[in-house]
Amino acid sequence: MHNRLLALKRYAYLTISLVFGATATGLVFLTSTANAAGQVQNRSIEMSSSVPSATGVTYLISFKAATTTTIGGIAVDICNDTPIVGSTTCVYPTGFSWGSATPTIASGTVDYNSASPYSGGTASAVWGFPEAFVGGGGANYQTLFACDATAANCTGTTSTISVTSGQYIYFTVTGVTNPSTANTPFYARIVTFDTVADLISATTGYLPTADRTSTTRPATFTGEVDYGGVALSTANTVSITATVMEQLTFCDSGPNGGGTNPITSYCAGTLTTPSITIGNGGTPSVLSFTADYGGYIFTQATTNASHGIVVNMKKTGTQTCGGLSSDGSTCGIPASSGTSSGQPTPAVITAGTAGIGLCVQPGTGVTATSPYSGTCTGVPPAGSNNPPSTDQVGMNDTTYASLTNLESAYGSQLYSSASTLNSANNVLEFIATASATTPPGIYTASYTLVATGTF
Amino acid sequence: MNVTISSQHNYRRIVLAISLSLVAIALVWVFLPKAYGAQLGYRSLLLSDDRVNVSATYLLNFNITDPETLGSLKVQFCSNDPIINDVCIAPQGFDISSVTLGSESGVTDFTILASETDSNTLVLTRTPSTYNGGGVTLTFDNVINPADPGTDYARLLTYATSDASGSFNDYGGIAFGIVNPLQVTSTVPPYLLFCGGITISGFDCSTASGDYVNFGDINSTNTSSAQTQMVTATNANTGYNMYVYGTTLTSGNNVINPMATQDVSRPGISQFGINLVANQTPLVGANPVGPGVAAPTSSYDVPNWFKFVSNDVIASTSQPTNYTKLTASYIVNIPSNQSPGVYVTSLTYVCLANF
Repeated sequence: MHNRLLALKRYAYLTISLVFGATATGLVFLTSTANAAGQVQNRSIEMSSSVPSATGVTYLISFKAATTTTIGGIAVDICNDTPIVGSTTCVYPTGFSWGSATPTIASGTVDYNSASPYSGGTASAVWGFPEAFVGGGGANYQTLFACDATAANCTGTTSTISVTSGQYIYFTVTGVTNPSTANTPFYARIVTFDTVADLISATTGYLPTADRTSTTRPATFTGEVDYGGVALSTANTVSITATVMEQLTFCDSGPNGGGTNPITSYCAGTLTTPSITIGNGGTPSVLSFTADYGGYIFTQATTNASHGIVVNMKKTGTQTCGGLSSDGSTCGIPASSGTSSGQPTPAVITAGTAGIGLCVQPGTGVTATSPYSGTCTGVPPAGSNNPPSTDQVGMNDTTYASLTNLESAYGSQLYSSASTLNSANNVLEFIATASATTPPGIYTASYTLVATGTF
Repeated sequence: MNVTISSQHNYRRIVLAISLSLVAIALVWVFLPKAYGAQLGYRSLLLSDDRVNVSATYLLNFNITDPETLGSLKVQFCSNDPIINDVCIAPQGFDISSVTLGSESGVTDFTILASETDSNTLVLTRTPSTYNGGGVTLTFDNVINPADPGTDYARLLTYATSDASGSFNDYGGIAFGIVNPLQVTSTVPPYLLFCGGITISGFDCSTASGDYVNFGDINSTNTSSAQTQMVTATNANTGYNMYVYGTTLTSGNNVINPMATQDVSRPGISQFGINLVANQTPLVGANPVGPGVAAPTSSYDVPNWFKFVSNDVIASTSQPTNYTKLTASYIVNIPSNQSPGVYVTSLTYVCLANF
């Protein structure tokens, strides 16, 4: 009695676990009965879906034979109350059905293989013409008879298979309809018989005629070989929702102490103020009209914007021009570009012709926009802050049909991407020079970089 | 007794399992997808200025995919995330309450619903009517940017109602960045480029060579001449003055007279003079060349007329000048009774820039 109580407690606990785990696989269930036959091992019923009332579900029924003998038929009975074989009641799980009075065993085959029900069998027997019965007072087919017969309802010429203890027997039934109650366990009772005749016997078989529309079950059966119970469960579909929010990480920095990019992934690192002094590197560092000098600003963009980003640069100082100004009004060192068909283009800065330009050395996935798309190294040559004289730069200070300039409302487009970016480093290489007549003074310009993602 | 205890233990486990199951079910319920409408497409927010705390114009673009009854648009700015229905933390310092609606396209009859607009939420209203879908562009002027650099977010919601009440139709999030401005500084020092030599290639002072002029044998019947070159440039605000210092040609106590006043070359008369232009008599010198504006002064700029007075300004400019190459011509004439000897002088040119 105490043992029975313990068994029920364990049964309840396992059931809860099944619901909690939302698994569609029936868990092994152990009961003790007074039956003299052996209990099949490693038994399970794997459902292709555990959704309540799901139709067209495939059940993979699998177990290991406990006895070395011949088997002529198998009963699989679906109950709502207990999996104990020999229990004299079997409550019908509302909504369940093996599909029809002649349920479909996939490929009409019962395989028995010693490895596992998933490794594929090499020996098999064709078991056709299974039968299912309306039981337990339910409206659908509750009890399945699997057998090897030549006519419907396990009739005609029948045969048996020889199995060895420990050998797997498994078969799939398709077109099954799950019970309709969600998150509720139900059970299968599996009984193997020595012959089809014993299985389907109207008086001593698994389901005598009198019990085929009721919840009553015999306590014992003639010709029973092995038996076992399996617990299954329906479960609500688990919906998993993950929200990925719009991301745009953009930063700029001056060089680190070594003159290189201090920005690490996702704008981490020890960033410096994005302020550069262009000059000869002396003390003070001054501009010359006999050479051009450069400076470097580093930017990094990361975004999940599916349509990419656009980075604009806009002049923010008081001067009415895009270049460098010493008086806050005019640009003694003007924005400089080449031109082609009226469009600003990248060009080499000629020493002695006052001007400042910019070249973008784009990172992965980034395209520089003209006139910032010239050929440039993007990094200072070793031991020098003077970029190669062949580097091409530009700065759009004039309105063109398709290009906005540094002074327009939203600035001048530096670079863009067509899709997402992952820590794309983009180096802005500035080159400037003075003319012989550029008035002495400290020339400055302030720009803001605006990154816009299109999500 | 042991069995009883075991049963109680199992009972507690059952209760615990049921409790966990209920929690799991509750969590599944919470995270079930909400009945949102479509996500707005091609969402972007372009700022005219992304510096902290400045007033900027925001250009908002988005696309409404399917026709819907459109009565209002809510744009909410948050510092934490763009997720609809999540708690919105207003960006520090951000203020859209004084916004004005600029240009509109796509939907052109929005107005600001002041009663629903606050520092980080803007509600635009219109008479509810069907919008057949398509791109929408709106410009918001006088938006005060957040006070902190970094990423902030905008949440977009469209409503059928005119006051952004009830359930929304479509939604979308946007991320935008506030970054430190970029500063470029360069110092242009006072320049004075000045070099001299017998020859200078182009305007490249590094090619200047020679500093010794030899007239050879001079006589009373022909004018002896020679020339040197100088390159100048300056960014001095008021230009420069170029001076010549030195003496006339001398040989011990014997001298060749300097041309104290401007005069032409007169063979047989003791003369030493210079000028800075091209001459025909004698054929010597060259006019100034280059993009600069420096020029010889009036005493030294007349072809075939020469002068030499130490400390004279021989060339000048009153403004910054680009490269100018000046060619100095020297002439020597002597009378027939000029004492023999080796006549020598050293001339020093000084260019004084006036910054």
